[in-house]
Amino acid sequence: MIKRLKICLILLVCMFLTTGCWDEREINDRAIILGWGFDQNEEGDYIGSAQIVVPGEVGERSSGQGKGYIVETATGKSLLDVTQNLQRKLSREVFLSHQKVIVIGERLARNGISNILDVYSREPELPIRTNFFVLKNGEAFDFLEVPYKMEDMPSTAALKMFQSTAGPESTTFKDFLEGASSEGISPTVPILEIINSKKEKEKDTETFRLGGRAIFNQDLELVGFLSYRESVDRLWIINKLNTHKLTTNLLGEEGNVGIMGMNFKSKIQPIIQNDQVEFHITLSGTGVVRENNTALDLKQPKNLQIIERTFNKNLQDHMISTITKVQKEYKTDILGFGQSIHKKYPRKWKIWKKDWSKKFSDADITVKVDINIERTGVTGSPLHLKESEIQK
Amino acid sequence: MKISKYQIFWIIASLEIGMVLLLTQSPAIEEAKQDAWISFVIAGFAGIGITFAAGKLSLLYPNKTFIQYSQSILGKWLGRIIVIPYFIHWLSVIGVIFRQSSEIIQMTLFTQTPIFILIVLLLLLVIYVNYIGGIESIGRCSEIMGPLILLMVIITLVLNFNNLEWDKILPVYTDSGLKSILKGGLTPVSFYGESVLIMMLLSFTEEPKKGVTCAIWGVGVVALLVTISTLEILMVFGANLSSRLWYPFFEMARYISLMRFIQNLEIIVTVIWIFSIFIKLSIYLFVSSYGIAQWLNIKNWRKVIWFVAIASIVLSLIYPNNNVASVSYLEQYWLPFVLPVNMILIPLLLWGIGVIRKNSKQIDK
Repeated sequence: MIKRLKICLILLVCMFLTTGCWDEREINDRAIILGWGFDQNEEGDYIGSAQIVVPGEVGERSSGQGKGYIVETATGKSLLDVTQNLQRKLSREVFLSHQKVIVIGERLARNGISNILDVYSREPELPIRTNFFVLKNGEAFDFLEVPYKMEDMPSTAALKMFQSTAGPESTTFKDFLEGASSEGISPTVPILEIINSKKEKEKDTETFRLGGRAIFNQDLELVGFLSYRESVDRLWIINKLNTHKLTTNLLGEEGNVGIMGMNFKSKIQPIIQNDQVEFHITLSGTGVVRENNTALDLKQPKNLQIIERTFNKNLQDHMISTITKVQKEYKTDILGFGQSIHKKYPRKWKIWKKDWSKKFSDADITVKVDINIERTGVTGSPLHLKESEIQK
Repeated sequence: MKISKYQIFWIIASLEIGMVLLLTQSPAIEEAKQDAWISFVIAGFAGIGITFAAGKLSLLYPNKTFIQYSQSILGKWLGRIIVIPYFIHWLSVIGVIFRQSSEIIQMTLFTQTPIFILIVLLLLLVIYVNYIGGIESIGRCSEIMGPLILLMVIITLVLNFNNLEWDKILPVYTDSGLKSILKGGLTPVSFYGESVLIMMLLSFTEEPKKGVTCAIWGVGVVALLVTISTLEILMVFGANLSSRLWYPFFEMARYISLMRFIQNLEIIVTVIWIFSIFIKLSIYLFVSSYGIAQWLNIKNWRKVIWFVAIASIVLSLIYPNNNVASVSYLEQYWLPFVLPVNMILIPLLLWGIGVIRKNSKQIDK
């Protein structure tokens, strides 16, 4: 009996020792930050804006109370300073583990963002799987203030937009760090743009959309933008494009054809001759016809070939113009061409990597696109056409 | 106190894998860049070699521990002196492991808890397991925890398959060269080499000969898993980024995101990783208490546990910060001293002299 009592006593003591209450922080003592925005003012100080969840109001928006989040800002010499100053405005403790989105204002991006990155890789609370955006033509603070109707939090909306249109999930921050820390590829970041969704006179019509890609040089200063269509080309070249809808006008026919492109692959072959480099880029993909606004009957294999040929031609032209723009205008290798040399000619790379951006902008490029149309949907020719209008 | 040969396998595997995954990958990748996985392959074979030598040495006197047979081989006084480096090694490493592991637990799980509390709680657990059953209960614990630890590593590796980009390990060899690859293998070898602990453990096994085979298997399995995980780290983060992350394997566990709901697994990984630390600390505590008891002819080795426990608290708190405890300890003591002397030189020396003595005795007969 006494032994049992002893065991009970020991268990009781253990219970008090192992409750783990030391670090307890109740959810209503925490300011859960979902999105961060960073800007720089004229004096060079950083302005941080945080989108903070107001737990009680999430989901109650339909009943018209509150919007589920608040936006607070603070300034400081560094990000840590900003966080400290922000805390002074918050009754709850800043909690960063759930943060999903970081947005950088354009001015800060142009001045260079190397000073705000370290805190993100050092802090163990912060996940490396984070979404990273640049706000074109604006301040990150404005972005966080834009109400977005479909999601509770605008930050969530931004990352969902990115996932459903462009590519791999939540890897932009890691990809950025990887690009910044390695030679042979320069980092890029997706863009968000604030636009007016409906008629301008109406109130509350501001919303945002996903743009193309912001190009950073090796000093992590913003040098330029790619449009959305050009950023698709870039994704295809670096082998990260999942699916994309492509439309093209047919030569010699009226109307256009749209396909759902899939299985995009790319191969970059550097060829070095006489200290001069040439890149052969082979791009392939499969497509399913989703829209046919021409009179062509797609049951006929020859008509499919016409479509394939036109797609190959047009995509190739666009690709060349994108690459030339990157080469001549920005002189920054964001396409991983340097890495392909590093992999194939590692010895040559050691000599070249110092002035790679010059070599890159002088390199000759050839592009070959090969789209293979696999299916045409459940009709051959458009159903609304009369028999006589169909082109066999 | 007796342990089975399978328990030897689980003890060796679970005591090695935790710290190897935590501390060796970043320095190896820093040295050998994207060829670090080759360093790990080489280190794995070297580790197996060290285990083999230590095992062979112990098999000369299968019923004696290292402390006892060093006296049989070298004579009473020289044999006693040659084990002193091991006591320094064991006691100091207990302190360092306590410090590092609680530092990491504090960083990932309990950010506000004082480190002293974490160390004491872990220490009480380790003392308890030693006091209640010595090596036998550690063996049983590792039989339960070992499979969980290996499973945790395998799950982390499998769940990262969708993040891999295999061409990140190119180009092979040209960027680093043989010298860097070998240099990168140094830290992993020094961790695999901790299997020299079997010199103290083999005398407790029922079948010492098979115990050696199992210990070698233990090192082999760990080496294989760690090599694969290094490959994956390189393919996920690339050589530049992963050399700068302090704990790339944990970072990889955090990076898991499958179907948008299997996320934030690092907590589970940390908790299971603590199992490995627990086994490692218990073994070191057991070995040093038992060893000191035999060395000083103390009958009841359990009394020595208290001395070692207090020493390890002191040794874990003397470091001014985490960098000294991990980086300086590794670079200034572990790599230049423990690896060549304690893991290679002394075992080989004793093995050589031991074989000669045995042979001459047989000739005498």
